[in-house]
Order: sequence, then C-alpha cells, then structure tokens
Amino acid sequence: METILPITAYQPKHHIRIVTAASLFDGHDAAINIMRRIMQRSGAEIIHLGHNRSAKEIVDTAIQEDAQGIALTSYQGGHNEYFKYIFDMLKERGAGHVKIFGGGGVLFSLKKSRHCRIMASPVSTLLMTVVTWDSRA
Amino acid sequence: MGLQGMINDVLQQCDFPLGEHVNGELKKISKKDHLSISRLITAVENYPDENQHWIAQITSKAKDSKVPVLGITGTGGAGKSSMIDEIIRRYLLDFPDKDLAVVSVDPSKRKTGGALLGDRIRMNALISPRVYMRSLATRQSNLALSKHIKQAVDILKAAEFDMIILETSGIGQSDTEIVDHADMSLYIMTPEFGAASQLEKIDMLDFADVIAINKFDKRGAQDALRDVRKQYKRNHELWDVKDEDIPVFGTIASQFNDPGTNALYKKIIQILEAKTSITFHSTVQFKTGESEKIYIIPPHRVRYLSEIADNNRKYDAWAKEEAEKAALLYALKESKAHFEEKGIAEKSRINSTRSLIG
Ligand code: B12
Ligand SMILES: Nc1nc2c(ncn2[C@@H]2O[C@H](COP(=O)(O)OP(=O)(O)OP(=O)(O)O)[C@@H](O)[C@H]2O)c(=O)[nH]1
Ligand SMILES: [Mg+2]
Repeated sequence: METILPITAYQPKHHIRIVTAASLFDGHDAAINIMRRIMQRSGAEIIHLGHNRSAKEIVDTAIQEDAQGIALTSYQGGHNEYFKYIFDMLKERGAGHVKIFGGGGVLFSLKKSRHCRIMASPVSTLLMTVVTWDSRA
Repeated sequence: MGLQGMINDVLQQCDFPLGEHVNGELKKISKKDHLSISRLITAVENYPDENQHWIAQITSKAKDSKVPVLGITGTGGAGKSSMIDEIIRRYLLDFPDKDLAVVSVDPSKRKTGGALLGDRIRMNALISPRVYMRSLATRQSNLALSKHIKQAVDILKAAEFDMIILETSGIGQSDTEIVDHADMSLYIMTPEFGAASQLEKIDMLDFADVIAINKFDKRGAQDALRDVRKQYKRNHELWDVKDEDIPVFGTIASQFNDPGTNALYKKIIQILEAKTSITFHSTVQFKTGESEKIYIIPPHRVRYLSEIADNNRKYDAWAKEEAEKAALLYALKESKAHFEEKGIAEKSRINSTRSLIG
C-alpha cells in the first residue's frame, strides 16, 4: 500500500514577495485565503488585495511592490482573458519577470493540464501553475 | 502533492533574488517611474551592504529635500490604513497637480518570517496614477518599522513626490519610533483604550501632533474624546486652551465624507505647512464638525421588520377574535329568528314536555 508522507515546507533562499487576490467580479476568496496562509507560514511576504480586483490593479500592485509572483483565484469564468490581460500588461510595462499562478478548481479543471502553457494558444508562454487536483497524486 | 506541495512549487518558482545589483534605476529615478523606485527600495531592503555606494548618494540628496512626511501610528486595527485612504482621497481632490507616496509597514511573524501585508485592502484611492504605494514587512520582531525605512523614505524623497505618508504596524503604549522618521505624526486610537488612567501610559500622547479617536461610532466615544483631550492638556500643559482647539479629533474613517475626518484632514495640512516650509494652497471645502454615524436605518428603527411582523400578527389575532364574535352573533341571530318563526308550535310542544316532566 502506498504511504503518504507529509510534505515539509519549502525553505526559501531569498525574500519572497507575492501579490494575492481573487479576480475581478469574483467574491470567491476562500481558496486564495488558504493558499496565502500556507505561503505566509512558509516564510513568504504576501501583499493581499482581497477580492474583486482588476488586471490593472494586480499589475500596478506587482510593480509598485516589486513582487516576484502573482497568485490568484478565479471562479468567474473569464480566467482565460483575465490572466492573459495580466500577462500582457506585465510584459508591456517591463515586468515580464513576475510569475503568474492561478487556480479555481472546477473551472480550471476543465483544462486537462497542470500548466497553463497549454491553456489556449495566445498564452502559450504563460508560466502559470494551475494546480488543479489532477496533481493530487 | 498536497496543498503544501503545490505551494512549495509556487514558492520555488518565485525564489529568485531581486535588487542585488541595480543598474540604470538610479538615473531613471522619478516619481513617474514606479518600476525603478520599486527596485531601489527592494535593493535597500534585500542587499543594503551590496548597494552601499549609491545609498549614500540618495541619503545626501534626501537631506536637502523638502518633501513633507506624515507619520501615522497607532494600535493594531485602529484604522490607520482606512484613514490613509481617506487622507489620500481628500488630498487628490484638494491638489489636482500633486502626487504622493505611501509606505505601510506590517509585522513579520517571528516564528515563520512570513508576513501578511494587508494594508492595501483598505486603500481604494491607490487606483490613481498619482499615488505610489509600497508595503514593507518589519523583518524584525518587536519593532513597528522596518530597519530600512529611512532609506525607503529617502528614495521616495529623491523621486520628488509631493508628500509621503508612512504607516507603522500596530504599536503598544510605549512606542514612538515614528517621530524619528516624520515631519509630523498622527496617532490613531479607538475609544476602547481601557480606563482614563491608561492614557497616562501612552507615550504618543506626548509626541503626536494630532490624535484621532477613530471608530467614533463605537460606544463610549464621547467620553473617550473628553478623556483624551484632558490627558493631552495635562501632557502639554495647555490648561487655558479650549477643548475645540486641542488637536484631538473624533473620526469615523469607514464613513464617506465624515465631518470629523474632514476636520482632521484640514488640521494635518495646516500643521504640515507650519512645520515645513511648504505651502499647500488647500482650497477644498468640506463639511467639518463632529463625527456622527449616519445610519441607513436609525438605531431605534433597526427592528422595523419585526415591528411590522408584530403588527400584522396583532391584526390577525384581532381579526380572528372579531370573526369569532361575528360568528357567535350570527348564530344567536339565526336561533332567534328560528324561534320566532316556529315560535307558537314550539311553545306548545315545550309546555307539554314540561308538564310531562313536572
Ligand atoms: C464555496 C463557493 C461559494 C461561496 C464562496 C465563499 C468564499 N468566500 O469564497 C459562496 C457561497 C459565497 C459562493 C457564492 C457564489 N457562487 Co460559488 N462556489 C463555491 C464552490 C462550491 C467552491 C469554491 C471553493 O472555494 N472551493 C475550495 C477551493 C480551495 O478548492 P478548488 O476551488 O477546488 O481549488 C483547488 C485548486 O484550483 C487550487 N487553487 C485554487 N485557487 C488557487 C490559487 C492559487 C494561487 C493556487 C496555487 C492554487 C489554487 O487549490 C484547490 C486545491 O484543491 C464552487 C463550486 C465548486 N464545487 O468548486 C462554486 C462556484 C465557483 N460558484 C459559482 C457561482 C455562480 C456563485 C454565485 C454567482 C452564486 C449566485 N448566483 O449568487 C455567487 C457569487 C459570489 C461572488 N460574489 O462572487 C459557480 C461559478 C460558475 C461560473 N463561473 O460559471 C460555481 C463553479 C458553482 C457552479 N458550478 O455553478 N460560492
Ligand atoms: N466601526 C468602524 N470601523 C472602522 C472604522 N475605521 C476603520 N474601521 C474598520 O477597522 C478595521 C481595521 O481597519 P484598518 O484600516 O485596516 O486598521 P489598521 O490600523 O490599518 O490595522 P493594522 O495595519 O493591521 O494595524 C477594518 O475592518 C475597517 O473597516 C471606523 O471609524 N468605525
Ligand atoms: Mg494598516
């Protein structure tokens, strides 16, 4: 029988700053609150914006806060466009180094892969871990 | 993989250094270039030693700077960030050509080193392109500010913002760190400070230029205002000054166009002008006065739905009673008519029955 080993928290080598929020027109903030608490517990500094935040607000914040990453949940159904706007806007404003992560179970699980790379062709380079539970194993 | 495994993956991908070397940012530094300002602040925060050479340069530039710094401190959750949002809103309205920068500090957790930098949640006015905002973690325990706060403020001064607002993390009774970093300081507290004698222990009541008793909608606010004013008079030996002239304001930062907050804003600008050589030319007119909670439903009407329901139930009960009375009356009336109609025949029958019994 397979035994499940508890996974220990990753030990960051650098100070990590991540912007978190739930997407525009979206009040589903339970998931991102869980995710950010685990990140905080693992030593990251989290700039939390709450819910209902536009792509521009997210990008402005990431730039002003000089964050390495953006982590979002989106359940409103428009995530393909929403994440693409963020991705494009970051690049356009010289912040292409900022990594984007997204989740939101049911909706994202429609996409079969763990990486958004395969999400839709225009966002083929988008480095985004859409951690749906096909990675549960 | 589990939740932790997933987060580990996120963190691993974000675990790259920022600010180790700056190139070009220093020359580009201007309040319009948020990207460069950000990176410079990161550099002083992450690699202060490696960046020593240019930090000195910034420090000397900032020394001659006239950019006013408003320091805001107070107990955890008293409403510092909400108040900053209100101040920014009024400032942007008052000065269409001016911009400003905000630095908010929140505590790092001693156990994990992580931090929730949550001040932005309260600041909706940040959406303006005239505002730059940076959140910093203390990265040290038991202190209200970051070790690198001075350099961060110096960078913002060098970028020539028109004003800088600095928010500490929540503080205790003896903390006054903010006064070393600001031209003027605002202390924000709530009516729930304990007994009046607690006020004697608060150091900021000696040092703050202005005090806000926020959450003035809470119970005991008027008493708090009186007590804090009294303590302020004692601390500053201002026995002859009228209560209204003491710089202690009751405010409700969570309320739109709050008169107390308006008065506080005006006072802040006035003090900043007096303490620095800057003239703001504030022209905006606000309704000032005492804060009063504006209710959508006034307190004595909060039970209005249940009052309506009560009324309806009372009416139903009354109607039922009346209906029963009417039914009884109808029955009696019918009986009476019945007897009158068949009266004579019945009478004789009754009489004969009586005689039988008799
Ligand atoms: C809980 C919930 C609510 C709660 C939200 C509470 C809160 N504060 O968050 C309440 C009841 C308020 C709610 C309300 C509504 N909801 Co709702 N809700 C859900 C529900 C049941 C679960 C979502 C959830 O939080 N899951 C828990 C998280 C932890 O798990 P997960 O989503 O599977 O996410 C996994 C991964 O994706 C990953 N992950 C998630 N986020 C992130 C982020 C990062 C950075 C990373 C790394 C990983 C990651 O981690 C999880 C690991 O398992 C879903 C249906 C469902 N079964 O999923 C509907 C659902 C999202 N809701 C829906 C709707 C329609 C609504 C309402 C509009 C209903 C209405 N008509 O009023 C409102 C809108 C509210 C609003 N203002 O936005 C729809 C959306 C449909 C759509 N977009 O087409 C859904 C899909 C239900 C449905 N099938 O119809 N909802
Ligand atoms: N009732 C009431 N609530 C208020 C008022 N001002 C702020 N709040 C609420 O108080 C809570 C804390 O407000 P913040 O502005 O985050 O307080 P803070 O002092 O910045 O908090 P920290 O930075 O965590 O120390 C929020 O839920 C606000 O909405 C007020 O005048 N009245
Ligand atoms: Mg705050």
